[in-house]
Amino acid sequence: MNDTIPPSRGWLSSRLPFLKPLCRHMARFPMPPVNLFWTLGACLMVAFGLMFVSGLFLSLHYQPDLSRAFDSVEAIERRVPSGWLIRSIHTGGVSMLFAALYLHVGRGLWYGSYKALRELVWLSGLVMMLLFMTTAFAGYVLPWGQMSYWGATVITHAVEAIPGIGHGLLVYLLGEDTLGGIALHRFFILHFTLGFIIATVIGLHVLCLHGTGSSNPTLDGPRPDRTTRPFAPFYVVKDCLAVCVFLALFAILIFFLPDLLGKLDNVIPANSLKTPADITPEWYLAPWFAMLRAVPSRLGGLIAASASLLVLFALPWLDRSPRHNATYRPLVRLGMGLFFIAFITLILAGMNGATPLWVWLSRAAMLVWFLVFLVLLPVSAYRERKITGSSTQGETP
Amino acid sequence: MRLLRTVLTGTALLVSVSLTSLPALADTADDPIVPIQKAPPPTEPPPPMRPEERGLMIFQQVCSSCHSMERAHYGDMIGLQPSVTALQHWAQQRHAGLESPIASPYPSVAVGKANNGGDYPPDLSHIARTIRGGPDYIRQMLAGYRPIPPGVTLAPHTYYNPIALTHHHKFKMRPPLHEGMITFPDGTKATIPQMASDVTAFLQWADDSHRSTRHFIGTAVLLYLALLGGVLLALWQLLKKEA
Amino acid sequence: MTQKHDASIPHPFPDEDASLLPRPTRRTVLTAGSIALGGAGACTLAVPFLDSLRRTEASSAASTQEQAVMDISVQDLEPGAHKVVVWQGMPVAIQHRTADMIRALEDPALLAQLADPQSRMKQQPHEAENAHRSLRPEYGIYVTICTHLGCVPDYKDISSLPASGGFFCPCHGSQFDGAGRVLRNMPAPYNLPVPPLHFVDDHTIRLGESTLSPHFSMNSIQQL
Repeated sequence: MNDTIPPSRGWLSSRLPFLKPLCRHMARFPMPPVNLFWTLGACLMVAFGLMFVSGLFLSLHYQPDLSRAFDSVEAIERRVPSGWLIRSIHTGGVSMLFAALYLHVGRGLWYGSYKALRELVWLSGLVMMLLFMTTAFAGYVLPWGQMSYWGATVITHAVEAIPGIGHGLLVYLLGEDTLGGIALHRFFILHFTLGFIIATVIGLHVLCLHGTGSSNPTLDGPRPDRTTRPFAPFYVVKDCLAVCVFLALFAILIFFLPDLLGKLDNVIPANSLKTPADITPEWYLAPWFAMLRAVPSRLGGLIAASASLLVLFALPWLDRSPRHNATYRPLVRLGMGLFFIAFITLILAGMNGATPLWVWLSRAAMLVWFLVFLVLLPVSAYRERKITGSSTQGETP
Repeated sequence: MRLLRTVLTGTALLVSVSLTSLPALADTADDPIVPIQKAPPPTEPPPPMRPEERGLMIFQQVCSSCHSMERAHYGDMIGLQPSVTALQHWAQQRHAGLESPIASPYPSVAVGKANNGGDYPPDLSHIARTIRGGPDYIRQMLAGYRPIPPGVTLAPHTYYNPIALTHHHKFKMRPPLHEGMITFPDGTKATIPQMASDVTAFLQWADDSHRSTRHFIGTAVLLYLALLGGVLLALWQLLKKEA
Repeated sequence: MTQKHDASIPHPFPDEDASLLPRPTRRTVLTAGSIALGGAGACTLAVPFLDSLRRTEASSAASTQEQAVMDISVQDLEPGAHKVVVWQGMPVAIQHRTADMIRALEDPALLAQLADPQSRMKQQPHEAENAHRSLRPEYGIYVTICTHLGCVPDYKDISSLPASGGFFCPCHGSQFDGAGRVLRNMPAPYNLPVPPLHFVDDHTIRLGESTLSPHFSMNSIQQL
């Protein structure tokens, strides 16, 4: 190799030769004429960054020990300087993050962002969603309040439903027969480590996106717009603007409505002899809690909840229509609309008591969930492929 | 080095401080200050106290003789009582230090129950949030004791309180507040409704000490975001036109 | 945020470039403004995070108040014996010297080896600025934290002068004599500190309080 320094380049670019091309690629990245839903990724990035940093600082004060976990959280709230602020960023941030995450996934569903050539973007995103759900669940256990303890008890016992190995697996995961100090320590390490793993997957997700480019919401419409413009500065400013609005909502949530989504019972230390009267999960995990509850058999509930997520992974192959945008696909529009309603129904069902009304509503919602993805989308795709023939209408890669 | 050492020895220091140091304090720290200290002019009125500061006094003198506030330490009250010496003194009276939790005065739950007609005095750390009815209930209940109406018989250690939610108005907590039982330094008259409201303010503070700071920071953050958003919006409009 | 379109990107409306000439001023101002505001916001966001690393309010208020006192009985200490007590989290060595040991501390052969034989550095209250570096010659009381990097030296006689006793720091080999005085050319720059103390009676030492120099505290010494 030639070790002489080219005089025209800067110190950094002579040592990191890919830096400048990378920055140029980022700045010039061609963006189709996307709408405001395409700013959610930037919001998620900011939300994750805040969660990551606040989590790191909280972990300096948190003690993953059965006898001290609850008190260390109280110490963060009461006497660590600014600890309450960092913790409120973390506990409020999780709701903001999931709200943006579900909207981001919903946008992908509606505009067909999962389709051919973007499968890896979709799959890496789904993997990330599962990681986020696991992280959130593990994190919720850490304060070791009543809701933490009983939420963890209910979910870990769902594992017991796996035939044959269920109980053994549960004991293996918990490290002992019941949920205790060993499990708490494991949950803490899991929660802490997943933050770094998610950061890596975010990198992969963005890498995949930059391979194929953003999807274009105008393509299936009557007036497709194929012009692109470079990411900087227009979309940088647009994303910053969206982040501003996102942060304002974030601030309203944590500074003015801190009890809106929090569970009161979690200020009571865990008591393994007394289940709180209204045990419900956090809203972002409520849909799957509702599914576990709606299926009479424990194993059935576990299978249904897992299948509801797995079906999303199969989406690129279930819907092979060349059309992307649900706005211009009447059947899919109906289906996606129904799915969004079903999802909200499941959230509400999970957060409400196990009354027959909510159980039946969640059963109906689950039916819609699977019908839309397993029947409606493939049928609609089949019909559209017949109409358009083999000609590729959508985007050209 | 000295800083590190100080941090490392903080705990040991505090424990020993709380056990032995009050006389030493008077000797060493206060001596040089005494001659230049001036008594405040007699015409100056005492500084006004916040309701939660009066509430802390009531908690120290009344509530804490039965209730615990386990999640808070004695030192946490520094937000309402800036004198560390006074807090240390209070903690010492209860055989504790600044960094110990405000524990129940009863050695066990059974003793606590036996002393209170069978009901254990609940921990007050988060009572303002977790009790049914919230702060409004606490305020009304504390001032809600009434003479026994005809036809109602009460077991021993039971008190008539039509506001109380447990035991159908036959409440186990003996009436905690009495007219004039506390002399507030700011001259506020210690009436029962006044004290009930002050102690409720204190319990709300104990549950959520950062409420006012939180609202202040929240407002500042929103104003900042509005400003930044305004600039970005203007820039975006400009870029839209240019492109 | 780049301030201008890169020249290599084809501008969609090249004709308008001329009419845009006055624009960049406004655009530059807005870009600079948002970068400045955003940066200021990010810096402000760092404040609570850095703040959380501070010690708690109550503990810092309490620690500025005064230092703790501790009574130590030396009744059980035979001449020639020593013991270590923990005062404010610091190891304090107490030695009961024999007459030989006291004499050895004034040996010119020893003094010649010491960095600060007259205890000129403020590492002790003034009543200990003497040949035996202590309030009473028969008791030597030193905070055994090496003035180099804070390790805890242990008892070890100086090989050439065993009678004077001594301390040896295992980390970087600093040697001190029996009065806590550091030898020449050692990593440690200062003698071991003498804590504030006085004798309540002949067999009780009160650490943390000096009657002869009431304002002396561990914060007044040169280095710990």
